[in-house]
Amino acid sequence: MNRILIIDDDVELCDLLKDYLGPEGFDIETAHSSDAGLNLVFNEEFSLVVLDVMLPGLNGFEVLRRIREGSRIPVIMLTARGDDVDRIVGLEMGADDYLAKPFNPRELVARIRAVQRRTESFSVPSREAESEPVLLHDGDIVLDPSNRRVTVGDVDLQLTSVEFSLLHELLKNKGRVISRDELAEHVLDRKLSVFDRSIDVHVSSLRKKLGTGAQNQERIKSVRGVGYLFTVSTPVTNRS
Amino acid sequence: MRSLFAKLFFGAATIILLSMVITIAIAVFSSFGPVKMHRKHIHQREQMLIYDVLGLYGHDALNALIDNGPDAIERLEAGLETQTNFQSFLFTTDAVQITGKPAPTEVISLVKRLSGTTPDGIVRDSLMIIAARTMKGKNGKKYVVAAILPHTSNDPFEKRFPFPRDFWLRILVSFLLCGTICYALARHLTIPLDKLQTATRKLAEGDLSVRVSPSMGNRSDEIAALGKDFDRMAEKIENLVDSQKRLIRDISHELRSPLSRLTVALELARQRGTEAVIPPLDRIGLETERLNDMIGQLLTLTKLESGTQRKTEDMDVCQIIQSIATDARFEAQLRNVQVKTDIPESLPYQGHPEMLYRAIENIVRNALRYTADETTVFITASRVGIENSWLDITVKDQGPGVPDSELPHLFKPFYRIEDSRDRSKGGTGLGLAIAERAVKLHHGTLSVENDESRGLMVKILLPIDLS
Repeated sequence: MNRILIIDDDVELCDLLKDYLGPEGFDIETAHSSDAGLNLVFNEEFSLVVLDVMLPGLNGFEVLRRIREGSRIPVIMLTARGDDVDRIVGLEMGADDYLAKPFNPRELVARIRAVQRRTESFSVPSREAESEPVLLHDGDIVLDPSNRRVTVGDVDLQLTSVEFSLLHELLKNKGRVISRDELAEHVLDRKLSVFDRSIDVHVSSLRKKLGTGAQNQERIKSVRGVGYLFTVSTPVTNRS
Repeated sequence: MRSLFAKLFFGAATIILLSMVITIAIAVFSSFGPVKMHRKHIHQREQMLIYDVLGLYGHDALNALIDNGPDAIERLEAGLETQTNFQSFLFTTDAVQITGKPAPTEVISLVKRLSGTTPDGIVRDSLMIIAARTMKGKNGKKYVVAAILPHTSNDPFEKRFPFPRDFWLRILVSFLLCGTICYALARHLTIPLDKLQTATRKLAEGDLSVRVSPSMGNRSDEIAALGKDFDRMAEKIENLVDSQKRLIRDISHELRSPLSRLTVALELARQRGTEAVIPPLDRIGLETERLNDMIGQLLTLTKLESGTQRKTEDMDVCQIIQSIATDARFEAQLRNVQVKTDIPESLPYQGHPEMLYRAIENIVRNALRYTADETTVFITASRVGIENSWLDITVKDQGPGVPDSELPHLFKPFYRIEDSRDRSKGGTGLGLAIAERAVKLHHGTLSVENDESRGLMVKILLPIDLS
C-alpha cells in the first residue's frame, strides 16, 4: 500500500503534486483543511502524511499533535525555509522529517522513500540473510526489529519511526561514538546541512522516552562536537 | 558659554547679583541724603531739649544762689542727684566753679570755650553729653550753668557704616542662595532638553523604540509637551518602518507559494518533456533557484533588522570558516580559483552561529564572485587588539576591487556599482547588507577597503566578551 495523504491549503500545489507523484508510484489523497485532514488520517489507511505547517484554522503543529495522540503514522512537515524554529518544533512534536518550501518534488520523493524504507525494512520479512532481525538489548531495554517494538522493563515504548531507527543504530553500535553525520545518513537517509539540528532533536525526544538507566545515568551521551554514544549499562553482578 | 545651561545660570545669577548691588548702593547713598537731614533735625531737637532742661534748672539754681547763697545750691544739687542722673555745676563767666563737686576737665574746658558770642555749647562722646549755658541771674550778673547727662539715647545713625556687623556673612549666604537657585532653575530647564537630545540621537541611530515621556516625570510645561510630540513622532515612524518591514516579509512569504508550484510544475515538465526542452527547463530551474535565494536573503535581512534574536550560543568560529571554505572550494574549482585559509586550531566565541555563518558565507561568496580566474581567495581569522579581545576575520579577493567612492555604499541592500560588468556576476545584492547587519548584531564592525595590490579586503571585527 502506497497511499499518501497531503494536507495543504494550496489546492493548486496539491494538484501538481498529485500529477507528479502519481507516476512515481504513489496513490495521493489530498485535504485542504486541518479538519478534513484529521478526519482522513483517522478514518482511512495511509502509509504517510505530508503536512503543511501554515494551515488556516488549526495550524500544522496542532494537527500533528492530534495525529500523534492516536497514531504513529510517519509525518513529513512542510515548513517555510529559514524558519528553523518551525523545523525544531515540528520534530520535537514527533514529525519524522521536514522539507522547506519551496522544495523540489524530487527531494520530496526521496524523503518519502527514506521514511518508508525505514519503516518497512524491519516489518517486511527480509529476503537477505544478512539483515536477519536480531533482538537488541541493553540492561532493561529490549528492541525487537521484527515487530518494531521497544520495551523498557515491562513498559512498551511508543516511538516514532525515526526514534526507533535511531535507537536501533545506537544500540547496534553501543559503547561506540557515532557522529551526527553518520546517524543522519543511516537514520534519515540524507546529509545534514550546516545548521540542521534534526538528529539532536530526535535524540533529545528519544532520551525523554527512555528515561535514565540503572545508575540514574543518561543512556545516550552526547560527545561535544562529534556525535552520540549509547553507554553500555554496567552489568548486574549478582546475576544467578 | 554657548550652552543653554550656562546662559540660564549666568543670566539669572547676573540679574540677582545686579539687584543686590543696586540695593546696597541705594542704602549707601541714602545715608548722605535725606537720612543725613533727618539726623541733623533730631540732633537739633535734642539740643533744644537739653538747653530747656538746663534753663529750667539754671533758673531755680540762680534764684537759690542769689537768695540763699551757695549752700542752697548744694542742697538743690544733692536733691537732684538722688532723683536723676543729672550732674550739675555752676560757674562764673570766668569759668570759676561756684558750687558742686569738682567738675571734670571736659566740663571746665567747655565752659572756658564759651564767650559772649557763643553763650551755649554741647559736647558729646560715646558715654555722656556735656552741656553748658550762659544765664543771667535776677541780680543782673551772668553765670554759666553746666551739666553732665548720661548718654542714654542709642542713636541709630551714630555709626558711619550703615550696615549690620554680619554684613559679609549675609552677602556670602546671599551669594550661595542665589547660586543654588540659579543652578536649580537652569538644571530644571536643561535636564529634559538633554534627555530629548539623547532620545533624538538614539532615534537617528535607528532605535525607533525610544520614548521620552516616562522620564519627564509629572512635568506639564512646554518641554514636556515637546517630549510628548517627540514620542508621537517616534511612534509614527516606528509604525511606518514596522509596517514596511512587515510588508517586505509578507511579500517574501507570499512569493513562496507560487514559487513552490513553479518548482513542482518544472519537475513535471522535466518528467514529460523531450530531450530538446531540458536546457531551457534547466535555465528555468536556475532562475527559480535564484529567485528563491533572493527571497530567503530578504527574509534573513528582515529577521536581522527586526532584531528579535534567540540567545547566544557557544561556538567555534574556525569550524564555521572551515565549513564555508569547503563549500567555497567546491564552487571555486570550476574557475580554477583557490580558497586558502589561515586560521588557528580553534576560536571559541559566544554569538549567533547561524547569523555569523551567513555573514562570513556572504562575504566569501562575494569574494568568489569577483576574484579573477585562477587566483586565490584568502580567509584569515585571529584574535587581535588589547588582551586579544577582538576577533578579526578577513576575506581578501584578487578581483578588480571597488572604486573608493563606492565603498561606503556597499552595505546598502541591492546597491549596484556603476559598472555594467557587475550585472553579469549574479548575486542577490543582499549579501553584504546581511553580513553587515549580522556583524552589527554581534556588536562588531564590518569594513571594506581596496587592497594595495589588487582586490577587495573585507574585515569583520567582533568584540569578545572576556568576562
